[in-house]
Amino acid sequence: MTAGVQALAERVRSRTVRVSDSIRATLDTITRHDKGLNAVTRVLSTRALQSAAAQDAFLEAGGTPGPLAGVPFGVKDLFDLEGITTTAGSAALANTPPATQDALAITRLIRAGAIPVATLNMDEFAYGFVTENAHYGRTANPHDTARLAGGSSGGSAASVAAGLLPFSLGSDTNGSIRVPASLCGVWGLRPTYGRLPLDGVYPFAASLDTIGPFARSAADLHLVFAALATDTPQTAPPTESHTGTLRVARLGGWFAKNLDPDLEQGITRLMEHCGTRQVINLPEVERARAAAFLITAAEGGNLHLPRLRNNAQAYDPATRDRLLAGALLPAGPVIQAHRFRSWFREAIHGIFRDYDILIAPATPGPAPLHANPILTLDGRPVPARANLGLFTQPISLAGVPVLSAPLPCQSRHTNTPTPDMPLGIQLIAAPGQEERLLSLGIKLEKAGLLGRPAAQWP
Amino acid sequence: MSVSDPFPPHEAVQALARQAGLELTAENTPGIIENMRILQHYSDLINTFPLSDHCPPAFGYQP
Repeated sequence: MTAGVQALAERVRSRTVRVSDSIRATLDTITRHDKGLNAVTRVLSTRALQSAAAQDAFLEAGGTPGPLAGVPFGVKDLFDLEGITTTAGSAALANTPPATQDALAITRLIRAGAIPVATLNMDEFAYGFVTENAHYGRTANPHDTARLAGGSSGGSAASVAAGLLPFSLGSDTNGSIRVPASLCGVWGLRPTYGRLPLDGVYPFAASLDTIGPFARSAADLHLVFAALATDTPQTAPPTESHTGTLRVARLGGWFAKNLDPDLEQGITRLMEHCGTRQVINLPEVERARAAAFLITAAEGGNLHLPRLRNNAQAYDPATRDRLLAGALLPAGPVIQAHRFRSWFREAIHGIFRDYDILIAPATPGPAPLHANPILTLDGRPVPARANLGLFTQPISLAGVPVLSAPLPCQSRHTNTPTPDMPLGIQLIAAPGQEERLLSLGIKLEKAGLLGRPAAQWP
Repeated sequence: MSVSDPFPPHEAVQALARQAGLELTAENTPGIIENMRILQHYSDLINTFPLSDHCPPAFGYQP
């Protein structure tokens, strides 16, 4: 298994390992262990080894290593990488010219010393929660390959959970970082809308799109986010900020129904640790989800309309039909959804005047089976594909930052049918409060309330 | 389009598609109609929420 971000960077900084050797070992790990997982769509061996050799030469000449020195990472297949066609998980873009430069987020990570080594599987055009791709196959959950990895950034989550990579990048429009992070048992961050640059990232629904990292620990996620969030090259790792006394509440109502009992217990333990019993209800959650759904359908449909007119058959049928339906939506409900969004924004800002952190589940329970992708909501079986974003999609509408965190393994009772499967929660903060979220995550991880080890893979 | 079944039938979907410059195949249409029904449900939810005339759309959204 590849070591974590901090450990790898420290080995390079202390000259314990040469970057070329570390990258070669990672490439070897990916090549040998992606079989059966299908998280990786391309291995960037030539580019990665050239970058590693250049970094070794830089360090041997006395250069100062960056905070992510020599750390390999993978990117969801919708980030531009110079010289490669960005597929966004679709055959419809196969004839698009190769990107002329890296996405800005990748450039920032490279400036910090990190090295891209792979592109990662996703739902076609990021429109899904399962990472079952008609063109590039299904990404399995490394904790149980019969189960869904979640999506749309399923390759990004599964590769980190399986220990193929120390960190990865994904995108989150309606939950595409938080859902797979939850199902695969890793940390993921959906930053404030607009906080991280989308230059060179293939869009889905522009007014909801965000990008963010996955990692196996909160501290690693913090390191990566610090590099992503600045254009200024850093020479030292970020320091952990103090969380002070935080006003914490859990979300009730919509977010307290249909929960796996172990998830409920894990949230209760967190609340006890934070010394609070406060439960608050977000208003109009079902409508918030509806608004996010409509905006996504309309913006996604509009984006793809020209290509759907000429080449609809190049799309995965499930994606195509959703996009076509979105393209035919009348303007009325879409404008109404945007107006509702303004209203919802004010409502959530009002809540953050009284609270610093809101706790909610990320998914209702563990990963559903691939062969029977069903969730039980209000006593009725419903398709997982359409409902895994139940708890993430309403929060997307507000654009606030959300840390997706795994509950520890001991949260699960051994008498459940899935005792080892991950469960995830969302920690939600006011706009711009990523540092506060990450610092709290680190604190709760140290206290044993959050975090879990990598999957036993292969 | 009737009140009891507000969703456009097959011909209406074809007409909407032509308006958008799309030619739908018989194979595509049922899947699109299914997705349009879902969107109709969400549209109904949104459209029945009262908003002030002074509540603007969130274009150029700032969290």
